[in-house]
Amino acid sequence: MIKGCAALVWTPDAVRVLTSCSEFDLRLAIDRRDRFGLRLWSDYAGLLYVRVIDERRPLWISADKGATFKAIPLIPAEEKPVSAYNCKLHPASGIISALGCDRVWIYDGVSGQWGSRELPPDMHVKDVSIDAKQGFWYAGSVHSQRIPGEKTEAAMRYQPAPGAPFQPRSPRLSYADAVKVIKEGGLTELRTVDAEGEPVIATSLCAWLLEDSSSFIFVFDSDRTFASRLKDELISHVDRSSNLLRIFTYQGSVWERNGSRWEQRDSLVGPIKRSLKVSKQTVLVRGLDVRQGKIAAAVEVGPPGAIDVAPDPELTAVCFSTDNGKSFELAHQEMSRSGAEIQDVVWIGQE
Amino acid sequence: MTQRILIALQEAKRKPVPLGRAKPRSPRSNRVQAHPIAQLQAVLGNRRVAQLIQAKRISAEGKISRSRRKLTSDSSSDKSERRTDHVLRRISAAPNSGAVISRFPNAVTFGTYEPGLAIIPPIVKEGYDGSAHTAIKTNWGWSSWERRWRVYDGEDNLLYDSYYTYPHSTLELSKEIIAKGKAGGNDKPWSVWHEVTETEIPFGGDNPDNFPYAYMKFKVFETWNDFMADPDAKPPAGKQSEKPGQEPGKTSPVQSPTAKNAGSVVDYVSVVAMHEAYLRQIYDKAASGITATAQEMIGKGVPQTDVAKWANEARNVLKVKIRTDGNPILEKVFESRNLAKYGNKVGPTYEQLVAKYAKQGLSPEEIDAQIIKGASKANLAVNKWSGRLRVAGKITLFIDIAFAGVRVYLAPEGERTKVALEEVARIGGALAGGAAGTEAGVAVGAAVGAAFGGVGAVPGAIVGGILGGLGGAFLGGWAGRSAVDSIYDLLPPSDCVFEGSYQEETR
Repeated sequence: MIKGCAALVWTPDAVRVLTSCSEFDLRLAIDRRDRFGLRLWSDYAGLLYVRVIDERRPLWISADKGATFKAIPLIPAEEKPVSAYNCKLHPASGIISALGCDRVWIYDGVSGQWGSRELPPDMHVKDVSIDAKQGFWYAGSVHSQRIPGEKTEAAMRYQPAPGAPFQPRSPRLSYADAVKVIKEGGLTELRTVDAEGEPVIATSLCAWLLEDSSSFIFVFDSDRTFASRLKDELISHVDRSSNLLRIFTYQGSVWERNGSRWEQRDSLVGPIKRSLKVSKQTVLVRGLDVRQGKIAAAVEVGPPGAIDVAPDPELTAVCFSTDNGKSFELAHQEMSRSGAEIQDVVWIGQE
Repeated sequence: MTQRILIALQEAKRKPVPLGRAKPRSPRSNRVQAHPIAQLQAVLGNRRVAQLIQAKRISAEGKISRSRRKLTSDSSSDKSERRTDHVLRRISAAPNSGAVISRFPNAVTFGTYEPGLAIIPPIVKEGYDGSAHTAIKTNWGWSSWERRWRVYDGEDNLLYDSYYTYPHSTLELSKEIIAKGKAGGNDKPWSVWHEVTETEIPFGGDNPDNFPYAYMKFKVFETWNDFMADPDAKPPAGKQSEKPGQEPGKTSPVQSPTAKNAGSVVDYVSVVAMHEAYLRQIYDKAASGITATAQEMIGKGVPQTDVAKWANEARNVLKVKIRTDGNPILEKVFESRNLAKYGNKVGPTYEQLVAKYAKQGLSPEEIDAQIIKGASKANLAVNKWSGRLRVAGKITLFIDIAFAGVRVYLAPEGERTKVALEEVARIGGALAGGAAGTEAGVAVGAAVGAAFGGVGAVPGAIVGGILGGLGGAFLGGWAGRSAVDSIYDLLPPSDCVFEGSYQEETR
């Protein structure tokens, strides 16, 4: 691996974290169908976090840049165990959150304790994000009959402090945007929210995802919300590290915000293919991290034209770019016949 | 034949020889100085020119007037108009020549074989277009199933002799027939003979006297000058009348074969569009039922993953059913799409869906929920297009039906029923032909495409289906019209004018 970068590798009997100077195996047998749920994060302080799909110990933390990991304490018991998929790191604050049924659990690495906040009672929360003022943004949906054929509509709530009233911050779209997004199926439910910087960004999926794998970006400016559709692409990463606000997709596209609109700039697929010396095969981004002009991508290379069939890949690899995605270099690869697959990659720390 | 001559002689005795007959011109002078009406005849045809004369809308110089009032007005000052008016008044004042004589073997057959031939208008050999015809009455006896037609010129030369087998009832007087004989003008009319030669019991039997026949005289002039000079020249009493504002001899664009054929194709495409739109509605409703059932299953504690698997399977079965009921071309399009995307014709399996979306960050719970929800999730954009298709299909079909109504309205007086039936048959034929053509095109296209390699089968089927569908609609519409035409050909032409009374004679 290259310096300053960490990769997460799944094998049938272990989860491996690779860095430039170490290789650490978490001896956890993660089911094959759950391997895509593995995630690797790095916070502002350079701590590494691994999420595994394990009800008892879903989160592991490394304070020595991946040389060793230890499990964080168990999430306090609820009636129904919190799904590992609902656990995530908030990199700017170093806080871990786990969405339960009616409350969000918060783990503070400094105190080493779990705390909780109640979720907005009138909405179904799909994601939570913490802003720079420690305010909590909740994205999801509320019951509504306003969208034809739907029982919900997208909603957002903001809670500036624990116990404070929830403030409605649902999308305020122009009439034209609302009509367009409703027609395209993007206003049924917000799926993710990112309030780590300004402006707050939320995403949603097309309501008929099986027929139309498109996603939507909602940018919450002070007075109104702007919505855009990414046709046939699902959002993988929101990048705020540079002056530009950028969106990266699993399909390898890069979108930049230009005023109220998003414009597709480049595709990482071509340069990645060149670095891997493949041409006809399909490339899908599994995980991606960006630090200004540096891009690290965990990708899978599959048979030609087989994205929708989703077969096992021929290989998985970590590629990195130091010129903003114009060219990539191969850092590490795993052939599928070895039984190992690279799932995610991060830059360690802020630099 | 002797009997025929005797009858003709008797008639000749009864009728005085007309006066004022013009001398025939030599063929050479006719060619050099073609009569203006002959020139018109070359453009409009024999019957049309005769009809214009009857309508007093043609001058002796061959000018067609748009205003009928002007020609009939007594205040007409133009010399040529006065002459035309004179000629036409003289023509209209001419007594009925009483050319039709029919003959019957006995009164017993009268109810079985209703006699009478359609009047043949005067024929001018100069530039004759072969449009004259005669026909027996429509309610002739079913038992008279074989008949013989003969045509004689004024000097009793047999010009035409042919047998027709039931049920053909019309005799076309072709250019060849008319060219063979010698024009006799008013003095020596030609005659057409119709004889029933084969009948069934009790009509006819073995006695040849029981076979009825009828004949009719008609006049043939060598040139238009001869025709115009003959004081007894009588234009036919044509039924056909133009619609107000319609140019004589011209048809409306909606009556053109191109418009009709295009209409047939549009009809088929419209119905396909409407059908697909309705199928989409059915699909949406059925898919909603799948989701409702899935929700019930979850409510009863069935694991979400199992419910999602069932919902996906049910949705795929529904898709197959709907596609089978839909247009074969679209079926091939969807199958082709699924083959390319998922490696099978039906659609993605549960495992494929999970792998596809898990790689793109969705949790298994989210994927299961999407599958369950997606089973009934109406794609608003698709539904909107479905609605548009339905409306567009209705509109285009309505437009073509409206055009069909216009064609019926513009049809000549006696042909409206025929045109209406033609239009019904054309639309029905287009729909049936389009469907059959699509099926056949898909099969043939797939076979041809497969010959160029397996992957060629689907595009071959699609291309073949489109061509087959459009071609089938085209041919189906044409066949429908032709079928009605053929049936109507068995009946006398609409512009046949039958005598109202017949003279019965005994041998």
